[in-house]
Amino acid sequence: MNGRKKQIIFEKLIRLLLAGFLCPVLFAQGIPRSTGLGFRGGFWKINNQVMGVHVGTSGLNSSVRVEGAGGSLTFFSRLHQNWFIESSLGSVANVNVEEKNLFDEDVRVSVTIPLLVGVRFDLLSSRLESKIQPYLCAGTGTYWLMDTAVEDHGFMDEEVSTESDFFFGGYVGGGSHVTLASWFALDFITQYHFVDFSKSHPKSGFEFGMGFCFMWGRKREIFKVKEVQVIVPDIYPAYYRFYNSYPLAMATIENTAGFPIEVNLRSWIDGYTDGVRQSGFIEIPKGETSNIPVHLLFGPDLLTVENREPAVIDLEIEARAGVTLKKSFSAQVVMHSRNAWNGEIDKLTVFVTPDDPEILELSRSYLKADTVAEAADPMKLHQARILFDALGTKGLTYQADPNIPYDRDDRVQFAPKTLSLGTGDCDDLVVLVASLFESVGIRTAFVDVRDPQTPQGHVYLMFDTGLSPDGIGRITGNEKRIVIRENASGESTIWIPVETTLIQAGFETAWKTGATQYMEEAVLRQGLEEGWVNVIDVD
Amino acid sequence: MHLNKMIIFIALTASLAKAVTDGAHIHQIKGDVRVRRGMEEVWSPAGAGMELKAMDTVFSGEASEVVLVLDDQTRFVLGSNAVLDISDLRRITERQLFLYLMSQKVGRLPDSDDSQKIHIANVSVVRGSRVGTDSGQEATDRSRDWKQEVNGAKALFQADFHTNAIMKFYRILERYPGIEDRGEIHFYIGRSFERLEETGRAYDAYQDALERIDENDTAPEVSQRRSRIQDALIRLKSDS
Repeated sequence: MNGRKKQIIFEKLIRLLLAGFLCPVLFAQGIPRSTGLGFRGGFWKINNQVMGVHVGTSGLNSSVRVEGAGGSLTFFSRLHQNWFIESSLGSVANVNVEEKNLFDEDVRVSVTIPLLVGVRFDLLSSRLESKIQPYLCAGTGTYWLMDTAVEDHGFMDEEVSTESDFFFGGYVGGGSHVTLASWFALDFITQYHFVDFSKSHPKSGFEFGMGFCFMWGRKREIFKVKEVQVIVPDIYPAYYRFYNSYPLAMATIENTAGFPIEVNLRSWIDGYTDGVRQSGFIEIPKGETSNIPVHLLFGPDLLTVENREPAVIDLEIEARAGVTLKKSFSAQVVMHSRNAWNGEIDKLTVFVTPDDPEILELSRSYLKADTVAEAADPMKLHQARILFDALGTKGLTYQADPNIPYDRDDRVQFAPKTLSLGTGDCDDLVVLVASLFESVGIRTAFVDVRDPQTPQGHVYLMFDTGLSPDGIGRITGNEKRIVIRENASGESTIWIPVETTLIQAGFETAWKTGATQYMEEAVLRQGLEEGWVNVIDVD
Repeated sequence: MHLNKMIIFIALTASLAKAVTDGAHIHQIKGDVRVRRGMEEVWSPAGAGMELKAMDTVFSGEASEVVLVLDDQTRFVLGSNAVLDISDLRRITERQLFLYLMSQKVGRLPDSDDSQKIHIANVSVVRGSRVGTDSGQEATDRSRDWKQEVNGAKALFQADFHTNAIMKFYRILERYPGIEDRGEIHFYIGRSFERLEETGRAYDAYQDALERIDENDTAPEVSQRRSRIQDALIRLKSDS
């Protein structure tokens, strides 16, 4: 085989190799593990030599030649994504045994021991799910060449000579892993060795090998959970509807795969949620970081929580990119009792239950018992007066919240509970009266007072008479007793403030006191403008 | 039970008395002058030397007048056919006034971010009202009350209580949405702002006043107001 032919074959082999690696029908084996140890056997096509095993006889002469057979042990470890570092120790031998006559025997053994270090690059992306991963590799190292000749010329006449030499060199080539299990793969390889960095060195040549490797260690990361930030560390069961549309945490996920991935986030709290909430698959572009909100699926069962206790949000993050990879995280939160309230006035509205059967029945029974045929007051004011005064006859009294050790929550009773206990503090009573008023269609609002001159906050009620400001004469002759508020559609109506803690004193006293407080705190001291008086619509 | 109620009521009353200390007493009265205490509905005849608290209201009838002396010995004259809350005489700084005006503006802005509010799905709510009840109410004659309150606010303006006058005028506008003749109030708001050297706000108020004057109205007082507004606008424009 002349040099030109060799060059053509060499070029064809390289092209075939590359075409095979880049062929779109080949796919990667998924996410390879980080470390492996391989064993490989093969032939090394050394320059000017015939590769293979030859046995021949001619008369009394016979010869056996084994040329270029060898094996190697390879260790590899991932550097970054598809890049691996590899190291191999091999041995290739040429053995030539010739027998001449009956007595003369020549044995020549030529061994090449390459100790090489190089890099490997897996060609196909691990987002594709297949068993084949083609790769390219290149490296450098030392080639220890050792020639031993034994000449036996009959009895007692034996000559042994050994020569060795040492060269630096390099290799380049490619191959393919066929993964049969996540820990085991077959390995096929073609490499060209440049001993002494020269193609013309007698030992330079192609190596064709096949073997297997065992793999272990971590699979390649395709995403990283940078942070799970808890937005709502305190969960209040009464707000369970709110939580269903508001994220309780935020997971920051970085795509480290080098290609787009899809991420689905599952979240739940054992014993509290009504099931697993899924974010649905969200695409994260290559190299980008996304914040994925963590929602939970709560139901009315949450209202059975009696005591404050710690709870754990379980998160399972599933990344999909041909293969699927899951990671689990958890975050600790505090689950408060069903009656706990964090003091945010807009959240107090969730305790108002106008559709509670007991409240509906009570409000209707009070109004049915009203014997006044034609009330002087406008209807809603009249109904409010009836309901308020009727509650007063039930003997409801003001009672501060209990002191619960280590529990700084404000405690709010649902309306039926306040009715059954017969007591409540300002927020309990305001919730009760609002529930009753709202159950007959009277719109209500909380007046939240956080007076900077007073350590403790206060809340009382305001309700809508439905009358326009021009109808004030039908309600009162004193304009300080009412509040004019504009609704969402720009219509102004007359609202009446009532101090609900004075429920036993009757509607008139509660109205006067409520109006006085509003006038003094909200208007004269400009609590509304300064922000320490807030009016929050219950509806 | 009654003890709790009493404690709360006394505490509220005490805190109120402490918080608003601006009061006055009646120095002199002429004609029909009456006083309404706090949140009461009834008016009582006034008498010289009567102490008035912040929550009280004083009324002066036709051809009547009352002279008040405030806690800081300032004399204040309330002319005929006027109503004034004693709290309207409290010291209102320009900062407080502009805080009030700003909050009114902010209050009129639509909610831009409702994400923090709790929304509970309510698919088919139809709120109705009983036919023939409140929805068809007839508006009471409010023009008399309106006039009395406007006269009270004018008295504040004339006594150089300009911040008080502006706040009072705005509250009147809020309380009487059905009154059509609102140009006069905007005119006085403009004048008050001009006295406070708030020319931009004064200009806007005069513009509002001018827009509310009917071009076909040739009544002498309307013509006079129109020409005064136009003069004021020219003056403010040349000043700026």
